[in-house]
Formats: sequence, structure tokens, C-alpha cells
Amino acid sequence: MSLLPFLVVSVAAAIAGLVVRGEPRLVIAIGVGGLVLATIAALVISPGDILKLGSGEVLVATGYGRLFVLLGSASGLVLCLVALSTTWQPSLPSALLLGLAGIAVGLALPDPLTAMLVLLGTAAAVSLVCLDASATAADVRAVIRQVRLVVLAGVLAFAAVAWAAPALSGIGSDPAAFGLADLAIVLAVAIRFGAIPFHRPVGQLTNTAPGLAIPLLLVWGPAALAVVALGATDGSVLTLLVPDGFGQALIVLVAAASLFLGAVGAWLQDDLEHVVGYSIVQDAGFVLLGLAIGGPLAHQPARLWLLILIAAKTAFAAWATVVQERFRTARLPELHGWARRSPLLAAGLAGIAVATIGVPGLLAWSVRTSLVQGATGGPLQVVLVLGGLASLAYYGRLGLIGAGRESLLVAAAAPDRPVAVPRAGSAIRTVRAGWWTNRAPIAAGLVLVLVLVSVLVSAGGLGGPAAAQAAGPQASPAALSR
Amino acid sequence: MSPFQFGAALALLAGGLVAISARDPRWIAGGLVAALGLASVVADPLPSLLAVAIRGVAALLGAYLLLLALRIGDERTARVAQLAGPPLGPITPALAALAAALVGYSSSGVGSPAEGPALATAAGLGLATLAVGPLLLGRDIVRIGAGVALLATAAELVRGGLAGTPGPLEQAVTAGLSVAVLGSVATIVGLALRAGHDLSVGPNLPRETLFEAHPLGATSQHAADRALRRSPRAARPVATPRRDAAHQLTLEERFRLAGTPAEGAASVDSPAEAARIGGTPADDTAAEHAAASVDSDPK
Repeated sequence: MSLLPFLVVSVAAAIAGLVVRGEPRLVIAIGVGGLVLATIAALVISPGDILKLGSGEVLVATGYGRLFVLLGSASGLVLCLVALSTTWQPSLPSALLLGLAGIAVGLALPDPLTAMLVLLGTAAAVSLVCLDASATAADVRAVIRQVRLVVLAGVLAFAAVAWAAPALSGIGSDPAAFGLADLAIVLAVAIRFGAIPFHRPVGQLTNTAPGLAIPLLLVWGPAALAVVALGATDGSVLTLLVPDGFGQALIVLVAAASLFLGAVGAWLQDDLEHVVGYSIVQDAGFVLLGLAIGGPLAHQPARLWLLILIAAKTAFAAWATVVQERFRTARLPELHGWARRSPLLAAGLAGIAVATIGVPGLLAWSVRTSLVQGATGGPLQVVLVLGGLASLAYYGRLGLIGAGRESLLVAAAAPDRPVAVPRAGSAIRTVRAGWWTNRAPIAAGLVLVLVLVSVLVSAGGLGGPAAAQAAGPQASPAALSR
Repeated sequence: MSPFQFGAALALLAGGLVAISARDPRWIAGGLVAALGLASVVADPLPSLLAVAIRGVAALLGAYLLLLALRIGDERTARVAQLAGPPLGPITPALAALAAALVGYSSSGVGSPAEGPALATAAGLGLATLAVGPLLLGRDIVRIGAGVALLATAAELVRGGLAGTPGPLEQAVTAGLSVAVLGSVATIVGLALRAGHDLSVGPNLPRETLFEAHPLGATSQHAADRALRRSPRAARPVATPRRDAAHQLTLEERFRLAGTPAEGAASVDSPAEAARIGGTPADDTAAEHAAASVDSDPK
């Protein structure tokens, strides 16, 4: 029952936000208020709690699902506050809340087929966040392509799980067929994340989507699909049984291509949002490595990596949006000296790099190493570790540009130092004037909050390792519902 | 396999074919209702009456949302619908769907014991084959949206064939998915039309940049070709003008410039005339002729 308040709050606030879309103040109040309530409701979710839906169907709250939606709703709240201090997106809160409600249901359903349908439907609906009344023809094209991509990937995973269902439930089936089904599931996850060679839609989407919606579209939804895919294959100890290890080799190849070429793509891009998009493509390589590992226990690092990915990429997308708004450009050649102008944002980028890559001794580092060691052996491990470290190239490029001489646009931007605001007629007016006057340091501070959360998660805080371990077959929704 | 289910499978495939082939939005919506609404009854055992009703209502609601969005811009939609016919025509997808259905029927349960009827797998593969055309080659939002909805329904049919009849919750979620997908497509259509765009997703028409300073009657290559066909004498080339003086040319000279020398030669009356006009832009005689033509052109 503890899941019910979260679902009610999320869905109600999302619908209310859409209904009052024409009233900006109401949208802000409902959106921010809904996310605050959703965060509180996520905190009170009790793992193992069962919500009966009638006719024997149940929703089962898990520790991993709780942490996922808690991270999502808290990050979503900060994203909305960032939007308030940069460029407000009227449909962003509703999209975040609807997406989180779908993810909560998807992660709580014991049946992976139903869970995939729920995730598919919400992902298709959430894609509309990119559109508003001023949408261009290119925006419209990008959104319909995104819907098409979401449905293609979802349908592929759905059919593959249905094909593998008899084997998963213990009925004898051809191991090669099960291996092919498993391969199809991984392929679907790769398509959703935009892993190379399916990366083209990522560029189109980052052109169209609001910067603060990128985490929802490119990270949260695909990560939820990956969690369900992991859950669907958890009950089996079968590895990828496509003959001669072909399936596993193919997945590792796609993962390696994403690790290297994603980093190259992010390094080559001159647009900040494209850098964010390609960095997601790169880090999706580790998700694929996690899916290439057979056996339920081996999936724990993959689940942990998904949590780190969610937190770190949300912070990176917020950082990029704030930089773009602060310096009035998203083009790197025009951003020389940004770090000198804003040390807070420089610290934020450093934190994002640490949270994503990790350092020896940090959980993120050991998770990446475990994924590489689990999926491959021999010298290929070194190659994949180097592929993961290739992200230093684009983080380094951003840092070097920031350390250079300030460009005209950067020099004209507001500094990090807050400005005192004279007292206005009422407290609300004073707060509003203070927020507006100091929106640059406030936005940078909000980014730092997200960075702090991502560093905490990548260090093993917030109960991530315990939740990922408990999400195995012993504590999955399917097992708990029996 | 009961005759009722066989008939339902045929009807839903026919509905899918209509949805991807028809040009009238109402027929597209009708085809979608048939395909999405009848999919629930191609199962063994049959789902509850309530589940069938929910799936049917969801199909109706989704199709109605699509129609509602298309009514916002009737004139514009009609133009787009004419442009965006089925990329492969109705016959080819129908035959391909038939072949896929036969393959699905004969291969149901390969590699994994099927818990549902082979007919569902057959219908699912047939419907998926129908959906592939608009998904990959569709040139407008409505067509792609229909393909997306049909593909989701096809997956549900294949699932029914492989893993048995879905439970009540999954039936309800599938109904919600139908509404979500068609509602999303309807929202995109509505926003696009309200923003003043057409529904095309194809590449933009090539922009005429060379003559922007002097807009002429014909705004596209198609219109220019049509004008040429109407007055062939006007299109008869007399000389090949210089390209660097192109912005000073008349409409006729522009048409000549756009055509290749071979086309120009093919339209003249005699080899001698072809030899006379076949000079290069640098040819003195042609250049002088073009200059004279430009000078005599009333601005």
C-alpha cells in the first residue's frame, strides 16, 4: 500500500499540470508542489509492501524501485528549480511526474511483459515534452521519430521476453532460441539508450528536446527498461547461448563501440547538449556490458551502474543547461573562460567527472571494473577500461576551454557572487526579486546539489549497493509476489 | 482454430491494410479500430468479455483522438493525405503480410513451446509486416503513427501466441497503451497543424536560392516542369546564357538554364539548330545572345 501515495500524487499532479497549462503560476505551483510531495511519498515507500489490484494482480514495492523513484523525484524537483532560474518549460513537471509514475509501476510489476508495456506507454507519452505551441517542423519530425523509436525498442523487448517466457518459467525450450531472445532484449536496450550504431536519434533529440528533459528521455526511461530486462532474465542461470558465444561477442562489440565512439562523438561536438547526449551514449556501453553477463548475481553491478548513470547524467544535463543560459551560448568555441567566470560550475563539472568515472576506491570505479571483468577476459578488459576512461577526453576539453581566456560572451555573463536585494513591499516580492536577481548563482548552486547527489550515489551512499543486491531474484517483484 | 477467430484475424489484417493504405483519415481511423479492437479475440482461451470491451473502447478512443486532431486543419490535412499515399501501394504489403502470416502459422512454437494459438502468431507477424512499410517509409505523421500502433498490436498478438492469453491487468495496460500511442500521435498532429506545419516528415523541398531576389511564378521544380509542358515553344532554347548573370534572366531563360544540354538538344527541331545552341556558357555567340536578351528584357 505504501506505493499508492506516490502513484496518486504523481499522476494527479501530472494531470493537473496539463489541465492548467495555460496558467504559468498554477503550473509552477502544481509542478513543484507535486514533485515535493512525490519525493516525500517516495521516501515512505516500504520495500516488500504489496498493493493488490484485484483479480490476483499485485504491485510489489522493492528497495531498488524505491531508490530509483526517490532519485528521480528529488532530481526532478531540482531540475524544475533549475528551470525556474533559467528557462521555464511548462510541460516539464508533468512529463517528469508522469514518467516517474510509469517507472514506479514498471519496477513494481512482477510480470515483466506488463511492466514493459507500462514503460512503453509512458515513454511514448513523455516524448511530447519536446513540443509546445512554438514547435518547428524539425521538432515535430524529431518527436514522431522518438515515439517510433521508443515503440520499436519496447516492442522488440516485449516480443523477446514473451519468446523466452517458457524458458524463464521452467518449461523446456531450445537454449539457442532463448539466447536469441536474450540478444533481442539487449538490442532493445541498446536502441533505447542510443548505443552505437543506434546513436543517430540522440543527436536529433538533443537538438529538439529542452536541455532539462534530456535525462528523462535519454536516461531515466531507458534505465527503467534495462532494469526490467535484467529482472526478466534474473530467474535464469542461462548465459547467452547463441552458438559459439556469438551473442555475447556481439554485445561486447556494441558496448566497446559505444565506449570509444561515444567519447569521440562527445569530444568532437561543439554544442553542449550534443556533448551531454553523446556522453550518455558512451556510458550506455557499461549498461550493455552488464547485460552481457550471465547469471542473476552478476547483474548487481549493472543495477548499481544504472543508479550512478541516472544521478550523474541528470547533473550533467542540468550543468549544460545552466552554462548555456548563463553565458547565452551552447557553443564551446564561444565559451572560453567559463570556469574562470564561474568556479561553482567548474566544481560541478569536476564532480560530475568524478561521479561518472570514479577513482580507485570509489564504488563507481569498482562497478565499472566489475562490469568489464564480468563481460570479457584477457586483454580486451584493458581495452574496455581504456574505453571507459576515454570520457576524460571530453571532460578535459570542457575544462581546458573553461580555463582559457574569457570570451566576450563569458566576460559579459553574471558572476557567481550573489547580490543583495533591497527589501520589497512583501516577503514574497522580496524573495522573488532575490531569486531573479541572483538566478545565476542559484542555478549553479542547484547544479552543485545534483552533483553532490551523484557523487554520493557513486560512492555507495543512499543505500545503493544494498538496494541493487536486494533487487536480485530473491527480492524481485516476481519472487516477492509468490 | 474456430471460424470466428479466423474471421477476426482476417478482419484485423484487413483493417491494418486499410490503415496503411487509405488516403482518407476516416478510413485510416476505421482500419485502426478494426485492427486494434479485434486483436484481443485472437486468443485461446478467449479473454473475459470485459477485457474485450476495454480493448475495443480503447481502440475507438484512440482513433477518435486521431480524427479529432486531424479535424483542426481539414484543408491542410487533405493536401498531405494526397501526398502521403502508401509508399508501396496496397498490393505489395498485402502479399507480404500474407506470406508473413503463413510463416508465423507454421513456425509458431519454434525454439520455445507456444502456449497460445498459432493463429495469433500468424496474425501478429502479418500485422507487423504491414506496419513495417509506414514505419520505415512513411512520409507523414499519421501514416507513421498508424504503423506504430499496428506494430504494438502485432507484438501483443505474437505475445498471445507464444505465452498464452494475457491476464486482465495486461489487457487493461494494452488498452492504455493503444490510447497512449494514438493519443501521442494525435497530440503531435494537433500541435503541428496549430503551429502551421504540414504533417510531412520527409526532407524539405530544395530551396531556390539562385533567384530569390526576383521571385518568379513557379516556386518549385514541379511547377516549372508543368509550365514547360504547357508552353513548349517558350521552352525552346535559343542560347545558353551565362550562369553568372543568372539573376538577370527571365523565366524562360531560367528554365533553359536549369535543363541539361542534352535536354535542350532533344527539344530542338534540327541538328543544325542543336549545334547552334549547344555552345558552352563561355561561348561568345551565346554570351552575346544572352546579353542581348537581358538588355531587351523589360524590368
